[in-house]
Amino acid sequence: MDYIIVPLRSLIRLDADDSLKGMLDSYQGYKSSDQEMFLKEQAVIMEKKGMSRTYLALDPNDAGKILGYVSIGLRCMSVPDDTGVSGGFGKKMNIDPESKVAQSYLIGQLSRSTDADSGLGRMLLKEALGMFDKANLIVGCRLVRVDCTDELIDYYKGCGFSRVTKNKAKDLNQMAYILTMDE
Amino acid sequence: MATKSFFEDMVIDTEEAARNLDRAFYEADHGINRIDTSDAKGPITDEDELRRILGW
Repeated sequence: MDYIIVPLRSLIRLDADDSLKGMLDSYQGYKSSDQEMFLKEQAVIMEKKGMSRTYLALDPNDAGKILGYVSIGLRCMSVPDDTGVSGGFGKKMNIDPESKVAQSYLIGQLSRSTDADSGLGRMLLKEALGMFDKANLIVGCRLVRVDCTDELIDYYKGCGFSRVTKNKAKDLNQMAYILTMDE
Repeated sequence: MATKSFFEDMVIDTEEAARNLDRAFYEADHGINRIDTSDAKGPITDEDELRRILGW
């Protein structure tokens, strides 16, 4: 499926609020109402606060039409003392020896529209990982996290992610993709 | 995947979680189960080009 990738922050800078609102409001997400709600109600707010960056996949033949989107950000990973993590592992993760905290990139939302082919989700994942690869070269950090429900574990495993643990509420699986070291 | 992920950290507080993450590093360092991102397009950021594409 052909698409173009456009940063939401670039569209905000075009200062065409009504056009942007109309574009976002017309989005119909496949399956998840949470993902549709995020794009319509929170993506712009979080973009302006610098909490996340959203990238829209637009139809190149109808650029007002959103085929899908991915929202990415940064979160912490903490490793309490009693976990049994080896010293070598701590160094690989860049875990701060005092705070026991390391950084991770986060794919917070990934969605395709009802009109998009199923392969678009995988392409959006590649777009996000490609951006993280560049960020890794500039500022470091190899860990990419995505949270998913039980039924999506195999999908993300097929995309190179490994299941690590459950979130605090035990309703999502926290999956990890490790970026390749720049040799 | 959910909006609340943006507000939650990952806590490695069990040996199983530590083992899982350690294995993910091992696999990455040995080229196992990698995803090829070479066909990612990357974002269009030029504002003039975006105005032309969108007609805004």
